[in-house]
Amino acid sequence: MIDIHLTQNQVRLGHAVSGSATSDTDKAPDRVSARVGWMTEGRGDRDDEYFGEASLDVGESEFGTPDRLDFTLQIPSDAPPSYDGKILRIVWVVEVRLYLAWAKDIDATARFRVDS
Amino acid sequence: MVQVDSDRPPKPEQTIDGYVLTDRGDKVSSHLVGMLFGLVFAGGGVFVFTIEDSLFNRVFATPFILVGLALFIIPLVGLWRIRRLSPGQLTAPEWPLQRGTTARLTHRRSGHRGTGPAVDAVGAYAKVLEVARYQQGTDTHTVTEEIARFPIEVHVLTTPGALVAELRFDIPPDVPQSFHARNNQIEWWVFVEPSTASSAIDGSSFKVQVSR
Repeated sequence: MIDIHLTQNQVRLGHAVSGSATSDTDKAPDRVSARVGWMTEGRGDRDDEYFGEASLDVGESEFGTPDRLDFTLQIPSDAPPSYDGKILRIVWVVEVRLYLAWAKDIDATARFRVDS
Repeated sequence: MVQVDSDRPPKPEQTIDGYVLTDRGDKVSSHLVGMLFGLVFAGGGVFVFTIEDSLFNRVFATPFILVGLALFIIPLVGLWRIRRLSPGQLTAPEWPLQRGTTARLTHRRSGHRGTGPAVDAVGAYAKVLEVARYQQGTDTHTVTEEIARFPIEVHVLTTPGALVAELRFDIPPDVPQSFHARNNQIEWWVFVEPSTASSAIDGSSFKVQVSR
């Protein structure tokens, strides 16, 4: 399981969202990555768009200890803000993925709000 | 993933007067198709006449000819009404429009052959729509939901040979901005509807871009 902790639940467009992700999987991942983006929910087929990615190749210490990924991800100022409408919602997420050797990757998302 | 979108509002043409959008709604084609359908219908009736001028053929063919003529004439009248005025143009001093500001736009339509249209009133409003598209099997369905509508204040200017109207409306800060993805959109539309006491005039519609 991946546990994502965001330092704030509400961010403005053009600012960054930051936090950390930890995992309690038995198997050590080859790589851990985090990215931020929006996706649509509602009546229509899903649209999504993801931005900047923070990643950690296990063994490197650039992002911290191997079992913890600290991230700061920039939200573009021209991206859509969060929206909750009648047949359409725009939700923002941080998605963290563990790339495991010879096993299915594990991912998790944490939602937060983006205001204009 | 990332969207390639054909429903994005058209990019306005930048001129010395501001940013100009032209109403590209194709209102001529549907009338032409109707006229063609009428010609085929009436032509079929006439063809039956030419085979043999008998009482049976007259009774059989006459309704086809009458209906065909009606199908031809009704769109012809519609086409004539459309031809009275050129396609509408909407000019904005700034682009895109901003939430929380007052939009001041100019709507212009020229009369053909230099004659000014005799317009008694011009109504206008803005509409915000959520549009969602989804695939079911091989069919694509589109659902549209109106989420807001605003009256637009209209001031008609007397200009020889053209219908010119100044439009003004407040864009509330809490209404969503334009959003355009492949399957989901939030669309802002401005509708302008001129009318005369005697006959209807087709209106103009413009998809505009509203940002934060």
